[in-house]
Order: sequence, then C-alpha cells, then structure tokens
Amino acid sequence: MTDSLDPIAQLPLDPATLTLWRVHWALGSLPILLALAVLMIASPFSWLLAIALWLALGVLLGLAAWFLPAMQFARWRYALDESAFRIAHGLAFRRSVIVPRSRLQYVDLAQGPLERRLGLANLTLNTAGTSNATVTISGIALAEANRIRDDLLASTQRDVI
Amino acid sequence: MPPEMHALDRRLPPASLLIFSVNSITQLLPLVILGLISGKADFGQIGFWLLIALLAVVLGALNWFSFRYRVGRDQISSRSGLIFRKQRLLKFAQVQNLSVVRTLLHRLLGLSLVRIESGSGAGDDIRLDGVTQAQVIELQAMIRGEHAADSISSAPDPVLLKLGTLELVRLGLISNRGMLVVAALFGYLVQSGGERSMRASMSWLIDPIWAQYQGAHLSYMGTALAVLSMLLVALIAVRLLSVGLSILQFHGFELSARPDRVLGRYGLLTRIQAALKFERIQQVAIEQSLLHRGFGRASIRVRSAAQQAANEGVQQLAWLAPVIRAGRVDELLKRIQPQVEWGQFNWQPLAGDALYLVLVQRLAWFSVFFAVLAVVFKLKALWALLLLPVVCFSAWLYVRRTRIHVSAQSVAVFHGGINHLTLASRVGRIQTIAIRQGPLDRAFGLASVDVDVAGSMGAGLRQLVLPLLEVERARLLAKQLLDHA
Repeated sequence: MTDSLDPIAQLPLDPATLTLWRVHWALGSLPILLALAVLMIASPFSWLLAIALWLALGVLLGLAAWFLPAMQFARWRYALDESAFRIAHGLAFRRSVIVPRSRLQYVDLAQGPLERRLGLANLTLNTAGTSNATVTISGIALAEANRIRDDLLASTQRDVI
Repeated sequence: MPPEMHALDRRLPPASLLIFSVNSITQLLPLVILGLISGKADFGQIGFWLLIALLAVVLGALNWFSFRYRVGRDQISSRSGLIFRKQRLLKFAQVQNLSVVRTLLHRLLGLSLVRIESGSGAGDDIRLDGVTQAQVIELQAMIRGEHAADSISSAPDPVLLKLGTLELVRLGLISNRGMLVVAALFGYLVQSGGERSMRASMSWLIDPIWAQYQGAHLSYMGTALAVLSMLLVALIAVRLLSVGLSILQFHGFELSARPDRVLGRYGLLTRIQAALKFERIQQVAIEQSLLHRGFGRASIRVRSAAQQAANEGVQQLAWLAPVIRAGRVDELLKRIQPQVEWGQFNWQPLAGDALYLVLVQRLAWFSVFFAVLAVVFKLKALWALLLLPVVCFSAWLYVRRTRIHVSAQSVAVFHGGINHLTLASRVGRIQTIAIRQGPLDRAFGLASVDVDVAGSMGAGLRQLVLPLLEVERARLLAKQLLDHA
C-alpha cells in the first residue's frame, strides 16, 4: 500500500474480520430490504415489475455488502512500535491516527457474540483528547489484541494531560 | 437529627444561612411552576409567595445545619445532606483549581463561594458557599502547600494585565456581545408567540416612527436616508449595549501571576476570581478580528484540562485577556508559557497547490449558491457573478496569509482570512496526531494534520489543524510532533 498516509502502519487486520464486516453489512441491509418490500407492495407497479425491482435492489445491496467491506479491509492497516500505536484506513476519506504511548489513559477490549465465534476483538485506545480522544480498531485476533493491550499498558505513565 | 459535630468540623458562618435560603429557591422552582400551572396560585397572591419564602428559609436552614467541612493538614472534606448524606474528600495535592465567586448577595454579606475542584472528571469538587475572606485566603494558602500566616504576609502578586474602563469600552466596541443579546431576545420573541407578539412588543418603538414617516411624505432619496440613519442608530445602540455588557462582565479585570498559575479577578455585580495552572494549559487562541486590528488590540483565550469544571459551570479562567494591546500579546504569553517561543515562531507557508484546492472548494460552494439564486431570481441572478472576484480574492488572501509553525516545543497555526486567529499548543500536550486526506486533497496531492489536545472546546476555540500540506511534509511534521510529544 504505497499511497498510505502512514507507511509505518503495515499490519493488515485478521482475515476473519472480512467475514465479520460482511455479516454486519448483510444484517444492516435487512431492514432496508424489508422497507423496500413494503414500498414495492404499496407502489402502483405490477407484481412482476415490483418483484423484479426489489430483486435488483437486493442484488445491488448484496454486491455492496460483499465488495465494500473487502475494499475497506484492504485499506486498513495498523502498527505498534516503541513510540506509538498507529492506524490507517479509509476509502474516499483517508485517515491515519497516531496515539503516542505516553498519552494513553486506558485500553478497552470488547467482544460481541460474532467476534467471540470468529476469535476476534475490538481494541479501543482512550486518551484525554477531545476530537480524536478514542481510537478503535475492530478486527484483530483476541490473542494479538491482548498482547497489544498488555504492551501498551506496560508503558502508560501516570499524569498524561 | 444532624450527625454529631466532631471537634475539627466547621460550619459556615451564620450569615451564609441567607445564601443557603436563596439557593433553596431554585429547589422550590418545580413547586412554584406547579402552583402557577394548576391555577392554585397566581403572581398576585402574596400568601403563596410568603409560603415559598418560608419554605426556602426552612430548606436553606436544614441544608446549612447539615453542611460541615473540615480542613486537615493535607486534605479538605465536606459533608452535606440530611436524608442522603454526601461526603467528599479532596487531598490538596489533587486540587486542580480553586475558584472564588462573589455575587451581589455574597458581597453584601462579605462572603464568597469557593469551589475546590480536582479535575478528575468525577464531579467530586467541594463547594463552600459563604466563607469569609480570611477563610478564603487560608484555604488558598493551604492548598498551595504553605502556612496561612506566611501567605497573608507575603508580597502581593505581580499584576500581568489590568483593564481600565476605557479599555473595556474598546472591548465592547470590538466584540459583538450586544448583538448576541439582541439575537437571543429576537429568538425568544419568535419562539414565544411569533410575529404578532414581536409586533406587539416593538410597537412602542415602531408605531411613532411609522406615523412620523407617513406624515413626512419623503422622496425616495429621503426614505433611503431615513432608513440609513435608522440603521446607524440601531448599530450604535447595539454597540453601546456591547460596551455596557463588557463593563458588567469584566469590570476591574486584573490578571496576576503566581509561581505556577495566573489568577484572574473580574466582574461588576458578580465578582469572579478564577485561577489557571500553567501546567494545565492545553491551547492558546489569539483572536484578531478586523475591528481588533483597527484598535491595535487582540483577545487571548485558553483551553485548559479541567473539562468537568467547565461543564459544571465552575469558574475557569477562559479569557487570559479579553482585550490586550497587540504589541503586548507575546510578552504576556511568555510569562505564562516560557517554554514556547512566543514571538519567534518559525512560520511556514502552506503547500504551493493549496490555492487551487481552496479555489475549487469555494467555487463549488459558490456554484451551489448561484444555482439556488438562478432558480429563485432567474436572469437577475447573473448579478451575483459580480461576487466571483471577491470569492477568488478571499481564497487567495486566506492561502497567502495562513501559516504553520512546528518546533520541538510548540505547534501553531495562523488562520489569516479577514479575521485572524492563531492557535498554539505545547508539543508536550498533544494527545493524538492524525493525518487526513479527502478526495479533493488527494487530487492535489495534499493532506492536513489534526493535532488533538485535552480540554473542552469552548466558544472561540477550534481544533488545531495544520491544513493543506504536501503529503510528504504532513508525514514529516507528524513524525516530528510524535518525537517530541
């Protein structure tokens, strides 16, 4: 990824994350599909046209749920070095955030039911900042997340403001 | 039954009973509203108000009796509440801020409200509402880790900035406080009853003028002159209001220096004393509007780390200088942040292509604006094209004047549009660094660097962003900031 805003952030997310994001997208699309179905039933179109339109929109949503997570996944990178934790991501709007080790207040580790099944974890780094106070990375293997958390906490200082 | 008093426990002076009673009135507000809404009482019923006053006195007395505090060698604790007892303990070492507020009532009684705040964000500050001046000085001294006697006899703090009435008049003329009040009033009238109530409330002013106008049979020129002069009168009235508000808010403004903090005292009716620890300063904002520059003045705000305090309305010194001579800004800031190279920043221009990007952005906005005008006004909208040179000039001016500064000690940005704004932070205060790039930035090979610090973002404060830089330069600056953070 040569055009990354942060060339130091090189590690990709765990491949299982892609499955997780696709499931999230699919679940998120369900209410939209349902709303579309209601719209089509209420529409003046003939049954055949309504079903065809609904199917076409459903396929579009399905394609989005398949490809967009893959594109986002391809751009997600992170790294932990001796001075900071770094992430870089974003398709159209790209962002890379650097959290100096010395600024960490606390680290959260969270796992939803799906994450538990896939062996993944969400890692949230909290600083005393305002607009970029928290940095969350979703989709690293639990063991790796634990390792990063322990590593970060070992270097946390007391007064960071 | 109130708990037994310990020998070291102290009560507030009896005069503060009155303050507690007045404070209780706010607790009785729901009762007042209920009484008025249900029709059980109305504004003219003296008995109802006497009952409320009596309840306030009883409630105030109960609160006063149940409140006690204790000052130890290295800590202060307070206890309050009859039914639900609340105890708070603060070690002096934890104390981030001690603020003193004196409303008109406090001043009549010769007392002060002291808030001792830890800045932990847990809302565990201690409030002593109604302490004597001697107790305030004693508390301040103890929290500073000195003995009370030393502190009272110590030399007065050197004064960094003092604002006389003339300077506050200038502040009123520069700032637009009056306009804010007018806008708020306007909003309230619109909310409370729409056009009719607005007309009704303004009829004392509008009706005689309208009658005069109809009687005078003015020509077009005459009408235009009349409208212009009325606008001028309104403008002067709003500015006079601003002057009045500035004097009310900042009368007797005095900023004095202690070894580790500045103390600000100000206010005509409500006298405020607020402190700001140097170490807690996160960001400094220097504002210079067109009017500021006309008067050769600037305003300095600070953002500090006691977020909770700001949210709870504790007096934090948000204004280092509501108004100050432009030439004295660096001198004052050097006293407060000696680590920062105030006045010697190494200002660097934005990327060479920044102008094109800003032009594209502003022209895109202008196109949207123009399209709306074209729909509404048809061909007449073409007149709006006369604004094009202004749009281009303002883009050019912004890019040409905006500068950034990054050193091992400090990071700053100077926004140089029509109004100037300098934002600066110590590198050691940075929490996170982010590089951002939108699609348009990418097309021009540019990126921006966001520098995040602690502290709540009050009015007039913005995030420090180093905008419109070449990507490689943005990366280098981010690395430089990280190395010294």
